[in-house]
Amino acid sequence: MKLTSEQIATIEETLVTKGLIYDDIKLEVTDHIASEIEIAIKDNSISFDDAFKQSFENWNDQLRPSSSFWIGSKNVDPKVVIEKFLSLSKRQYKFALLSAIVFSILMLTITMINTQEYVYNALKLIFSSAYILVCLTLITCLFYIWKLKSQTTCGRFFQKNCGFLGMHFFLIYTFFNGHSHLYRHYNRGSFTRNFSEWFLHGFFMFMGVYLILIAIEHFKTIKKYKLT
Amino acid sequence: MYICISKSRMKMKNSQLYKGSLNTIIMKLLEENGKMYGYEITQKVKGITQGDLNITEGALYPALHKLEAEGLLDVEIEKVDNRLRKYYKLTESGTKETVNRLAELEDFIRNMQSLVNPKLEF
Repeated sequence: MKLTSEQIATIEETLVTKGLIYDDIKLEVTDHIASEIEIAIKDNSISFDDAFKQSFENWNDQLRPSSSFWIGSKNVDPKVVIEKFLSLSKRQYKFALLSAIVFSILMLTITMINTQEYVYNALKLIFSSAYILVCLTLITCLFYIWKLKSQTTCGRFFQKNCGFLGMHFFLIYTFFNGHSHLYRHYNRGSFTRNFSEWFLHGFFMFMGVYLILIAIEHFKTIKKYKLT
Repeated sequence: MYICISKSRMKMKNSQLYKGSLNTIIMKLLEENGKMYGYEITQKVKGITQGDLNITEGALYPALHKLEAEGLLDVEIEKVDNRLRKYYKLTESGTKETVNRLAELEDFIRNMQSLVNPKLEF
């Protein structure tokens, strides 16, 4: 027996009351629960209400409110969503860490081979310009995500992590104006100090780059799922 | 517990043994069936193993999302019976990776067989 549109709507509304508001996961869980209910009605000859109750009991663990230290313990969502956020968060840190290490080694190598001041200043200018571009792209994405209104897990993850925008601008400001970033300090600085300088700024810039990739994923999901 | 084994027919009590193979199981099913949706995967596994192996939602969806994020699976949305259905299918790189992972799994099974029961030939 196929479920009616009203019965599907009941499943969706129940999921929303349980906090599952993200369309990408909601449609998948709705279809799974609806399929389970259809089979239960057919095989066990039970009513929609009984099958509905049975199916939601199976999903109880995945729909219970959860949080995680790694993505901010104040952020409470169903477990199935938190698991996706955690996976995105792990990928973001992995991407930023590895990229920042490679970037820092590259910058150090260039400045160790070419010790002239103009080389350092040129690299600093290129890096800062790229960083500003990343921040402006983040702001643009934030605006469009807010304007489109569609809720996806990627969109929510992006919005939550944009709290770091202030930190990005602070780092750009210090990179342009901080005394510690003057060539004379860099030239006399130890390997660890110079590595840290590039790494700190690189890490946050690549965190931003990953967020842009997440925003692109959000827009792709909206297009694919025709959510608008 | 992520993968449950029905107690009535339980010979293998440790579901941990299956956990590492879940992604490969999913990829193998998608290779054979083209495209599948979540519930269909759970029912297919249940059917093939005659109810011995039951993949729970808590294991299935994180695995599917991970494979999708790795670019091994692609997604298609279709309207079926008054609702939207998300179908998963292997990407080109997913198809290649399935071959590698199946070969790894077969090696693992062969080695386990040699260790557990050396007299039997695989």
